[in-house]
Amino acid sequence: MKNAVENVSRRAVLAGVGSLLGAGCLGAERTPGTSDTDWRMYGCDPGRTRFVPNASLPRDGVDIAWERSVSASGWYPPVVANETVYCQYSNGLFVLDAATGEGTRASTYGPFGRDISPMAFASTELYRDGVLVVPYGTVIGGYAAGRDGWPDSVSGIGEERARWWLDGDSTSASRLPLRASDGEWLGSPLTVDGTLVSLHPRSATLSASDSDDGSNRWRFDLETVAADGYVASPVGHVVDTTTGTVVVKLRTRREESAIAVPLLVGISSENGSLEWRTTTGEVSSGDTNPGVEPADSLTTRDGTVYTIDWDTSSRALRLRELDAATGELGWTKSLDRSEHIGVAVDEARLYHVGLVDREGAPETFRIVALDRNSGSRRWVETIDGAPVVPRLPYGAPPTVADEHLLVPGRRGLHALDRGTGETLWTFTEMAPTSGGGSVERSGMTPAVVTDDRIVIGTTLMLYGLE
Amino acid sequence: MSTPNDSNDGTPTGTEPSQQTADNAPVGLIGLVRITIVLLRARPSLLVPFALAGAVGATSAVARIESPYPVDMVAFPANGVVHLSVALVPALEPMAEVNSGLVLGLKPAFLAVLIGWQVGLALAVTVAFAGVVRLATRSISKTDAISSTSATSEVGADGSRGLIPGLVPSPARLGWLFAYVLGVQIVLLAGLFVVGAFGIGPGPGPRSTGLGLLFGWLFVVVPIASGLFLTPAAIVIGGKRPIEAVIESGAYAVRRPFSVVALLLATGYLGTVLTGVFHGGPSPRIGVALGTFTSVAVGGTLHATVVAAAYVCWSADD
Repeated sequence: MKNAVENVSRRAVLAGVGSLLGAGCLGAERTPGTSDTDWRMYGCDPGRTRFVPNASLPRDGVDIAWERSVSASGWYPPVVANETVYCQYSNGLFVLDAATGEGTRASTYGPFGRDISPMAFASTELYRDGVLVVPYGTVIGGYAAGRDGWPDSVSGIGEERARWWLDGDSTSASRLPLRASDGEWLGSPLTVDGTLVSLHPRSATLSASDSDDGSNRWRFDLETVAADGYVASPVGHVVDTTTGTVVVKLRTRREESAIAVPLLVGISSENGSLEWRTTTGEVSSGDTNPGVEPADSLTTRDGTVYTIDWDTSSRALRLRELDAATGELGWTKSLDRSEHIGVAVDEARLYHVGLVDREGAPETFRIVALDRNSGSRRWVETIDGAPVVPRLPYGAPPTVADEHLLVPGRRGLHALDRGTGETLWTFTEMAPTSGGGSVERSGMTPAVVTDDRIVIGTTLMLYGLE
Repeated sequence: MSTPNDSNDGTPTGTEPSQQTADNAPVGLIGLVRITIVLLRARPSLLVPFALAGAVGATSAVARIESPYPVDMVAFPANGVVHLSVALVPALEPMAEVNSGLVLGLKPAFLAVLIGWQVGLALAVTVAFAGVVRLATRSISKTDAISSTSATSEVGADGSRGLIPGLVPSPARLGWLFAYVLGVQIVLLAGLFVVGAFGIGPGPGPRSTGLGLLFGWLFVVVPIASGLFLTPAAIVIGGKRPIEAVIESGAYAVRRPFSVVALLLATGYLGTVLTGVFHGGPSPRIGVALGTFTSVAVGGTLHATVVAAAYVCWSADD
């Protein structure tokens, strides 16, 4: 088994020497190079901000640039790199040209792409095409990503295209045994400059690995941050590139106790050392809203972290601000929502999407824009056509791109002016039903924006919109 | 079928064959094992070439771990899985496992480094194999196949008592052996690329996966490897060009299929088992280095010796 982690500093030195010999001497750069049109991981960037500043989208409606139909949805969020869209659904993987929609649909007949969390993409020094990162719970596979190399069908777990496997404890070029875990999408892998930052729920570890061979750079045992007698369960993570901090959200609980203690920890992305830890208050399991913590309840940008949890006393969602460098708590904003769907953040504002009242108004969801400095409200809008289920894969988080806030819903995709909240357009298409009628295609993935294209998975159809 | 050493580019250095009376009996599997044991007891220096190659292999294996190339180092026993290895030539990195993803999409510079790396290993195997053959051939006697191991005392002061008076492989033979070893490495790399690029693999489902691998191994890998088993000896001792050597080796495999398959599996499995001598040590890297060295030094020597003995004896039989 390659690279069992024993001594981080020695490993780091050896890895450095190896990289110097293997790559540095050859003057290799990581390819494919990053660009403004990339959406390489769940949440768009390491902070999961879902913000694409340099996009170019129409204000008066979108047209269909291309479409690919499927017989079963089961979409996972698309990723885009090197002008290529990778999008997994129930029975296959699309590898498409982002502009034209042309490319391969690799049908899958085994565990490849099933029961995974969202994929990610990383550049590599050794390989031209980078690596497609597929997380199977605790075990993560790194696959050759080249657009033109994908066959029409992938059997088994696609070992023919796999370069490495890792599970947080070890790395192997041979497939590691897959084990079920409760991994949340918020814990899907992040890529930062050729380093893969991954959360492994089963072993409660956070690890940083090289995208070329999956070798371990550092590893942090998250059990060590829980108070004595408590067990830590990782929920998700983000990376604040401004401060070089990996922020991990955990749920700690005394064994067989009904009291859970949410915990946020800051870990250096450079060497994996613990920088800070902050608790946000105890939550009785009877009062816990199970849909809140796992679903995209963490984001960070420019040294500030935003987390959403359930306030037991007010029985409402609560947005909290933290300093990414110190973990110090800042402002708190209570939101009168029954369910959390997602959050996005741009230079000045934070956008939250949630359900107002699942019991009383199940069709309605509300979007609010908050000032990042003070937490004060800038605008709020209510829209009909809420997702059937607020959590993914039926209720997708929002995207901020160009002047738009894009919100998937039961009726398709809504576009709002991010400055004012004004509705700009709604993209709705109909799908035929077996009874001879038709039904609106629901937005089932986040709206992934790449340049002037919006890629979104809907009911039985993947769209490229322009 | 030509007799060994009748080519012009081999250089006889010893006396004429001296064991003619016992050399009329055919040599089987047990006889080859006896000959190998006798040779190793008589000439411990046979271990030197592959001990040096083992040092090269151990260094290479550790460097491979530290390199950015995604390669596994797996020692025996590996997670309860029985590895049935087959080796066309002694492997200098018996613990290294690579998959097809390694070669897909490699940048030209790194592909060149990888090929250069394999060329270096092929050169080391070639030199070590030729070294063992040079030391072993002059002492290979069919008498040892039917007599007790005490026959080691029969080795003369100059070591020359065998079917072949002694052999210093010429540069031409070394070159052809090097080309053969390198060709094997390149074919394996190309095979990995084809598997990855065209998605060739076992069918869906664990049952078909296991059966597919087993049938592929039994009916493709083992027959091909058996046919090539004596090729290195046919090049170095017989003085054949690689294609002629492959044909001759294949002919021996057809005539003695059970002996060849048994030797093939035994040498391959021995090389694998010896990688686990230092399994579970204090450091994975030290374990890899020591396991690689032991496997190559012992397994490689036995492999080369038994191949040389089989070729010499079976050539004499014919």
